[in-house]
Amino acid sequence: MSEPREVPRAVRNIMGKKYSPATHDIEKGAIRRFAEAIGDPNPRWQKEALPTFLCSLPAEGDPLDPLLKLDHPYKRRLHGSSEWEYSLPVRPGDVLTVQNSVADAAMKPGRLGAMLFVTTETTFVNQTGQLVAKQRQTIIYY
Amino acid sequence: MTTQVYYEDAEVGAELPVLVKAPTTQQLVMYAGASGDFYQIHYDKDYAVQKDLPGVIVHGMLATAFVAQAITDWMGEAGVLKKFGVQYRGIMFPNEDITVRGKVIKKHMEGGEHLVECEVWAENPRGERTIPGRAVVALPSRRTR
Repeated sequence: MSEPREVPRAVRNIMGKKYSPATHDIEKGAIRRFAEAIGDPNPRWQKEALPTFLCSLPAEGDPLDPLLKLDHPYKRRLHGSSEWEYSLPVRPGDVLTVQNSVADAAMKPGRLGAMLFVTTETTFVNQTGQLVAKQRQTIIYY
Repeated sequence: MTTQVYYEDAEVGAELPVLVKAPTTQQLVMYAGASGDFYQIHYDKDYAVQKDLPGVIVHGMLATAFVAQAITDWMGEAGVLKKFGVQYRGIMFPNEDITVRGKVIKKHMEGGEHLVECEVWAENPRGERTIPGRAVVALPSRRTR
């Protein structure tokens, strides 16, 4: 069976879907372990989370496999891109509310034929209700 | 410790200091634990081979973190990362150099901030840009106060 040329209905149906949020306590030790795993000795990370630390905070709805629970024909999945916008620093002791949503889905021509690009958005809000960061991931199904 | 880079110092075309990483498989395990990404292709060779990979591969997000480090190392204590984005274009293996390079491509003031945009990327030993990306950093200015 060949992959569809149009965004499948099951995928169109989840566009705009917002998943349940999850809350995470931002811990100094978790940041330190993350920095050690990367091999980044910058003392800044004793007081602040490093930029990609946010990806260690899960919430419902996998931003790296937004079609996970759906009946879809795609055999393969690639991570296409990640983007972050940072508004405020994240510090140990913060409590972040993380929420994923499906932002967009579109067919685009690729090397291997028509490929489905699904973009997910994740918001990170701190304990005072301020948006600290926004993340967009594009996953390519084919 | 390097000195703080100021907006006035950042010239379009200037190259960021090069950062070279060569993660070991042990480091991939540390990253799996720290990030919560336990996908077996990053530490279980049999599993990776069964998925048609030549062997265990580096997490794309770990290589992305290397690219972020090159930027945060350069921008200094007073620099603030505002935007960062990457594309995933190729796989990388442990015990091989991942070289992060970058250069300043644009600078402008916006909303009272002194913003510098950089093109940044990770390269594998074959010179392929496996993680091309962009970053926008707010730098301090010698002209404030």
